[in-house]
Amino acid sequence: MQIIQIVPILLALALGPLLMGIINRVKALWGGRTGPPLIQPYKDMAKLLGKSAIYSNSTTWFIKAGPVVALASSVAVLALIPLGGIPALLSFQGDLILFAYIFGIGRFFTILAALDTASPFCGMGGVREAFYGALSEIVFFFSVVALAAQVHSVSLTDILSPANSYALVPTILVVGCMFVVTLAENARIPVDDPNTHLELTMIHEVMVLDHGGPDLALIEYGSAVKLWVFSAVLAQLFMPISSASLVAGVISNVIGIFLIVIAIGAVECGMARLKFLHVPRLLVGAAAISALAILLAVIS
Amino acid sequence: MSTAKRRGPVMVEALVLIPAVLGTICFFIRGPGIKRGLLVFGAGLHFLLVVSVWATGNYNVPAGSWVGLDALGTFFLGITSLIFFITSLYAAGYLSREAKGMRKDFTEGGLFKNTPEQVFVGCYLLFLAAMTLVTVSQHMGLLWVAVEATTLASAPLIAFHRHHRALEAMWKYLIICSVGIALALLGTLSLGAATGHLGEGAAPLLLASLLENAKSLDPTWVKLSFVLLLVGYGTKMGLAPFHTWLPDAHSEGPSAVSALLSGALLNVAFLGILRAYQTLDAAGLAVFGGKLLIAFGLISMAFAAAFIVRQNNFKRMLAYSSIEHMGIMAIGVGIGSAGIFGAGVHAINHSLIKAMLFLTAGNIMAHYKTTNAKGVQGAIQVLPVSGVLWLVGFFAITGVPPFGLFVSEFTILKATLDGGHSWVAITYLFLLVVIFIAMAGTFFSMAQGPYETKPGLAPASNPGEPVSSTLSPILLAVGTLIMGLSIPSFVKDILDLFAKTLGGGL
Amino acid sequence: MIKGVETLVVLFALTNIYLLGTDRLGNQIRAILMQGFLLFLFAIAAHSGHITAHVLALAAVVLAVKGIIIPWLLKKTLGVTTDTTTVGPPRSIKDDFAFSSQPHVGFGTSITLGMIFIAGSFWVGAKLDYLPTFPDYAPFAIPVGIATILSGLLIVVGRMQALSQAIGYLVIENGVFVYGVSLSAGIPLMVEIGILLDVLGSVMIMGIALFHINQSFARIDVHGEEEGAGHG
Repeated sequence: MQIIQIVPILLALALGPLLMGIINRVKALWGGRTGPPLIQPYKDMAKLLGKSAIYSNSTTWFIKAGPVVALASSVAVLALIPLGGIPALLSFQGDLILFAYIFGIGRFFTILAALDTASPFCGMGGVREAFYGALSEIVFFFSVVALAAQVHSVSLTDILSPANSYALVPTILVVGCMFVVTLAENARIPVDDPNTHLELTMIHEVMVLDHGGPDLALIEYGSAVKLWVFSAVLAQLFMPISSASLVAGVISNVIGIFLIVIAIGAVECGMARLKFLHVPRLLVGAAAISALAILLAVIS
Repeated sequence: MSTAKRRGPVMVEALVLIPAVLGTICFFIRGPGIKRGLLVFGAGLHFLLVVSVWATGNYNVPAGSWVGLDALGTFFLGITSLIFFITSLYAAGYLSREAKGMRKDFTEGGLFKNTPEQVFVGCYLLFLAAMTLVTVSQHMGLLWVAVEATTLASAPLIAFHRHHRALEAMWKYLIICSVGIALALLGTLSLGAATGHLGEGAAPLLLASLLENAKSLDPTWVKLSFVLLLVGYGTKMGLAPFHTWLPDAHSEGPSAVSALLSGALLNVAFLGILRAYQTLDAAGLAVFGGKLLIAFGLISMAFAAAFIVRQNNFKRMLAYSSIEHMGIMAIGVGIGSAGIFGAGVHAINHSLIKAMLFLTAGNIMAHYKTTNAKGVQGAIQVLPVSGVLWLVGFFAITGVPPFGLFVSEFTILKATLDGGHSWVAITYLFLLVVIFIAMAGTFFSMAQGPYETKPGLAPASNPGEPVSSTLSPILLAVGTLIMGLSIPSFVKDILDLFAKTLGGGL
Repeated sequence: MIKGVETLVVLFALTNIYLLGTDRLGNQIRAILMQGFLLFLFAIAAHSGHITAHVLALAAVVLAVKGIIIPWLLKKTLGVTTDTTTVGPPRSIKDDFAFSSQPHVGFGTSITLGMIFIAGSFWVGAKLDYLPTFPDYAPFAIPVGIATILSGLLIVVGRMQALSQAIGYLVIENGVFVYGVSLSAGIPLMVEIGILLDVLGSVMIMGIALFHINQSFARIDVHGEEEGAGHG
């Protein structure tokens, strides 16, 4: 365990909200506007931290625990992912399963917090989140297995290590599927519209509808870090990362993250959210494609 | 002999081209009389040519040729041509009696129109041409193309009455048979794969070369291709459980078309399976194929029995009976040795009887204006010829002597017992009895009983049936009676060759 | 293993998954067009060792029939309107339909089954003893061909829209073609062209049938036609 392995975690904690700012900027520019400054999310969080939270009398401790656990899970996962050639702080065989299920704990507590308020909208959002979460988990596992099968290791650090070489076609398929997973897990179009004002059409937003003040700040920060985590993993699949110089590797990886986030912004501008009936089709389709990738990877 | 050899290829081309050309011409002719005349003339000329081929008895196929008349093909060609010709006489009369313009559907009361006569007559002859092509194909790929062509040519015939039930029946027929035939294509290609390791031989899908090299083919591929061809062509033949198109197509199409489908098409589809079986037999895997054929045959008989019991629609009942008899033929070939001879006799007789029954059913339906057996009573009184033929047909189709099916069913039963397949024989007999009892009720209740005059029906005091509608069924009934009493020698010769080609024989 | 062939085969599998998941007829037709085009490329790429006039002729016919004519025919059938002697605005096949648009097998289930088919086909393909002495042997093609055939069968059986069933039939034929090209030892050109013409003929007749079906339904005033819904 070297001191340099802290750097990716610090980068994530520092630059996470910047990603949200980039997405909003991209969407504004696409629409011909100037848009908010890139550091606006930081300012929003700071403002929120200064406010006080109000809790309803009919809630229990879940509503206070939800944001905390969500943030904690996002930050905890940071210890599992490598960045730019720097191995993860904590890596062992099977850590990719822990990766998925730590996020699972975060999602579970968010849903519990939503159900705690007894508001029908929040319950509805919780149901959708649970369903889509289950499907996107399948896609994630299939995609990672397609890579793991080629490297014969189930540790994220080994899989994403820059020294590996993968077969081209399965990797392209995996990149596509992981992009879909990123969109699904971070509540982006085409799975969920972060800008909608109608509760009936929300998934993630509606679960956090009753949180305010510092709780909301924690939730937003947790979402930002989660977005960073997924983008970081995805970027290492297609960016050229040299195993020689760590600095160059990290810079290359971060550029990849920015590219992914810009792509997410472009997707948000380019299409509308899918009908709720069609989202499972997208996810199951991605699962099928990633299954195909596994087959191709195994046979190659 | 040399003249016969020289005539060979020309004969084959003539057999295919004459109906094809005449059929195409018919699409452009306006006058109804000419169309019907061409229909009968085309079918008749075809029949005469086939008779002449049968008379010469020369079943040699020129080496390396894709088309040729061998014994197996000529056998089925003969049946096909006979049925087409006799049905064409009936069809000409039928077309002249059909109402023109919009008419009322007596089952549901909506209005519909018939397909223009040009399409019917043209497709009829093109159908004949496609069937001929199947029987003369010596190349498995060409066989496939021809079978698909028969589907395409016969589909418009089924939807002659353009109401939604007939159209839906035609759609089902098109989709199910096309899908089945696509699987048969898979089988044909797999057969090509079986020959792959022989190197770039000249056209390995040629039947002659397949039979020659049969022993050195890869057995896995041969078995796989047989299964696929059995499923694919079996769909067209009406083997259960791929038979789902059959009852609808037979009950919604005009009776003449049902006669063609049951009397000719199902046999020709069976020919496709038999060509595969020939290869299997030459490769020494006949036992494998036989087991499959017996299994599908029994399943078909069981399905047929299940649906004939309490079947009210008498045309559907006849359709399920076709499925049953196709099953019996499959069992016959599957048993081998004498069973194959029995299957051949069965093919001839079933075609004759089923065609006769469908044409007679058409007459009954035309008079009573219903396909429900409960709505038909006293047919003997008001339709003397058709009523009697209906009863005669019952005895014929259920295998009662002296009609032909008795000979074939008995031969197959004996072969089954000789081969030691007692359970097969027991099931076979049981299903035959079930079907006999089920059909007896329907047939007798329709033929006998008092005739009640209903509005819209011709009164009993004026029974009269047009000659064109009764001549054909009478001819067919006489034919099966002759076949039952004693098989004429020219038929027996070709039956022996038929059996020998498939590795059997009396 | 030829890289180009592998990519084409993967793209082909992707079009299958897409076809299983979409219920819009226009998109299905586009997917069929894509498949036709991919087959054209595949027909050339699979013979990349020795391209003869035979190969080029076959590829040209494939492109013409599967890539151009058949999608065009399907599109025309899609836009067919009933005759305007009936009261009301002209309807086309994608609006109302003879057979209901609620599929037997839901789309999520279809895609999952498609995935199982692909996996199963690769397993079966490994069991089948390929003879690598085939000159044009493209190893992924056989499993993908089998998977395509199964997907096409699922579309035919699971969908109730008649045009979808016709498209399912075309998918089956495409799968058989993929299978056949990789085993192409000994299939003469004339037979392959005959096969393609037969498929073309089927599509034409199906189009005509759909036209008549649509017309007949325009005349019947019965709503919720149970007979039309009972496809077996």
